[in-house]
Amino acid sequence: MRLEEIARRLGLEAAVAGKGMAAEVTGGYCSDLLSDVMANAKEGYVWVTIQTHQNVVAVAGLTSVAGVVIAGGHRPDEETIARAGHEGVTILLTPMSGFEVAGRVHALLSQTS
Amino acid sequence: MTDHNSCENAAAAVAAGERLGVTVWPGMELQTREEVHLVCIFAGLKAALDFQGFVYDRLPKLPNRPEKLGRQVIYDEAGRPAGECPKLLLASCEVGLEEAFRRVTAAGGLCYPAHVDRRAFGLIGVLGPFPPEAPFPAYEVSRGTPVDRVRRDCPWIPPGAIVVSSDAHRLEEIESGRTLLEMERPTPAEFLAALEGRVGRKVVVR
Repeated sequence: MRLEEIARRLGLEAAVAGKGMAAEVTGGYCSDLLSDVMANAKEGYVWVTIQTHQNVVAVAGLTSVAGVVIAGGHRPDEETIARAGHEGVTILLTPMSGFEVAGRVHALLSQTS
Repeated sequence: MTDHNSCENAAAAVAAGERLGVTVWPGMELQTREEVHLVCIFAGLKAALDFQGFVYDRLPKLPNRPEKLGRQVIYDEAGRPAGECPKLLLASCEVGLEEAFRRVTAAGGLCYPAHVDRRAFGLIGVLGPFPPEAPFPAYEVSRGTPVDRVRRDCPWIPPGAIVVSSDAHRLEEIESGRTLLEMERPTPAEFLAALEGRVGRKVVVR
């Protein structure tokens, strides 16, 4: 399932709709420690976090995740949005908790596989 | 001396230090909203307490739970309990690390990331091995972590900006002599001059 369809089905707000919106989502990872995400997130993943610092964009680019979901109603820093726009990294927002949104993404991916 | 999100004990420590001939810099170990710890050192008590006011306003409006988290005792200069801080200090302050750096620096203080190598609450562990926007004058490495490893992982850290500290939470954990500061006077301004390698000053990590 493509990221744009997941975003639409779950009502995720696109703070930045980057090139990853069209990517086929291959899995997901939940973590707020960027060193951990760098080690474990894979290309095509949805990354769920409440970390809002601009380094999120750098890590998303390095790991080639399809997009970042910032959960729990947290709003990214201005620099994060600007940098994501510049680098074409998708940032999606939701008031759902990380647990909730990860569960729903997992359910959607399980349906299609 | 840098308590967690607080400077409540700074006045007593400074006064006790004056009595004993030890210079104590009032400070704080700030936990930012990214969950990065920053060492904040101030030239005087007024600046430290002003910053504490800013931090307290941006901490969660929650009380400490002494039975679960431990008591937050405030001491007088003789080491006698003189009060207790009711706020929950074991939390993140709603301030980003770049803004915190700007504020501490504008107040004449020194601000740099603590134990950068630690997974929990360390700049590199939490935010990855990227150069931060804020031009921190120093980067603290935990004792026990090879400084060379940090240099290799983060080649952007300026030479001479690494300090090693014990992050002591108890008296007996204070390690003597890992980082020596050669300064004209024991002031935070001179600490900065040593970090910048100004003539006659330097930072020596052993």
